Amino acid sequence: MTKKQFILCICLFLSILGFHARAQETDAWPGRVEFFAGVDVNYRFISYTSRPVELLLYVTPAVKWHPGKDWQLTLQGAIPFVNLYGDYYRYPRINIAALSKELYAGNFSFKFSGGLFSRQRYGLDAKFQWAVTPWFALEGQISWTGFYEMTNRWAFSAMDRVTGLLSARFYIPKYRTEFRITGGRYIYADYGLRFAWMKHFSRFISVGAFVQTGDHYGNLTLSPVRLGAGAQLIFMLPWQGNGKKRVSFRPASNIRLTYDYKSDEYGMKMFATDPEENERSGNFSKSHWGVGGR
Amino acid sequence: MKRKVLLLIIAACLLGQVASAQMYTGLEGLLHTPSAEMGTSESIRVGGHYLNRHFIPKGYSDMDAPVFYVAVTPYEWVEASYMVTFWKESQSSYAPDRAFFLKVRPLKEGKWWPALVVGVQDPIGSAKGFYLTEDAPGFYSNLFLAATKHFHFLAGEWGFHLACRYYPNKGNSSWSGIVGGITWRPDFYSPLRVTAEYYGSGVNLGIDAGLFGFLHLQLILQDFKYLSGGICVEIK
Repeated sequence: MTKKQFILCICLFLSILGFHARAQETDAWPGRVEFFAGVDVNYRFISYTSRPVELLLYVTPAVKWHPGKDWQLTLQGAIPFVNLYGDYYRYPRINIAALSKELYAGNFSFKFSGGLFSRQRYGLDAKFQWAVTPWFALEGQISWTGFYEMTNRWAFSAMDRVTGLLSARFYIPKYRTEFRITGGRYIYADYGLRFAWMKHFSRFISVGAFVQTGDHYGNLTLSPVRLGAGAQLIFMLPWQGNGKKRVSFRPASNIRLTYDYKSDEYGMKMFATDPEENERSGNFSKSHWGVGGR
Repeated sequence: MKRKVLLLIIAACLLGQVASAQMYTGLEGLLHTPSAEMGTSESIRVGGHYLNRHFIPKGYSDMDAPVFYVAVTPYEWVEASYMVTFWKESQSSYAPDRAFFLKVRPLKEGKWWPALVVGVQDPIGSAKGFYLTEDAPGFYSNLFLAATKHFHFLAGEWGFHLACRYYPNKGNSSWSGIVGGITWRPDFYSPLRVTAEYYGSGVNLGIDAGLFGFLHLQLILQDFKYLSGGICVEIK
């Protein structure tokens, strides 16, 4: 890492460590265009070397266009600016290019998406939420996708994988605490079950922990148990600009970090259809079940 | 120039609102020993310490080591922390080592009784899944029970802390047993804390200071000889 890159990293880190400002919800009114950028941080620990931490940092510029009637067009790129992982990761790439539509009917929310998703998946995706009571909701997702690569070579597999998740969510408003049980089939055709706890702070931050198990989760050479645990941190960024401007420039709405004790890159993974997808705001911009980004 | 430095110090003092103090693990505590104080509810602390080799557990290498942590207090009765130690293999080679810490307070401090906490540090010793056993303990592995009571006199808040801890790692057995310390926060600047503690095999002196409402500094003098210190950012 060069000195300039190091200073840039420090500046980004300090900018994340919030000073006192209020995180705002973005306003998705018709005709609005939002330009924003975030940082995708990847790191790995390596023992017995002079470089015990290796970093892979992408800047992720993105644009969202809201044509109206809850349609949304999203494009996000990923440009590596610190790469200690190796040559394979040196190429800028498209991370998400998706068209989506949200529908609302009573306590039901739906979101349909198509295009290029994160984790190099392309295809179609549908999500729903049924807010049964203020403290209980059911959520589901079903996807029909294939693999794509648009870096040093272009490759597309057949769109032949069906994946799906079902979640039961329980929210205790007094303590801003949520419990979530999620199970289903993930993008590498593995099956898994996750139990998660999450505490939504009144300002900016959500923290959580989870326990999960899956039929291909974990590395059997390291541990005979296919049971793992981890933690999550979601930091809603302030400085979201003026929501009334037709064209706005802002940082990404959040930074999201998931720590998996098993460090399994492939077990129980699901793609994102929106660059700013996170567990605090939820998947539906007009649903206020749970903390709903507030 | 001197006036600018003086003004900066005064501004820092006026803006200082951090009244917590972290151990090198990110959890609330004294210097080396735990206490029953808890962090601010709904806060996160990100920081690091540079630890003298006499301060850290035996078992890996006999060299100073930096540690970095992320600690969280989601509710006022529980704290958790994730810490990475960069053990030095040699002058130019490191081995990162992960550790987890958890502290729960079943009894809050009252007018007539102390706060009580139970906690565990680094419970997962190895990938084989040994937990707090003598076969394969984590380097920091220990269990503790701690009590804290505060009193207000002599121009400040005095804290009296007592803890009992158990280290399964035989190299650190001298740290097992009864430990504790005394803290003092002056009335004129409560984010400042002065600490004296007995940690099982010696005495540590330390000073903590909160600055600007989010920054926290700590300096430790171990056995009147060895210096360690750290810095932490608290986000509320």
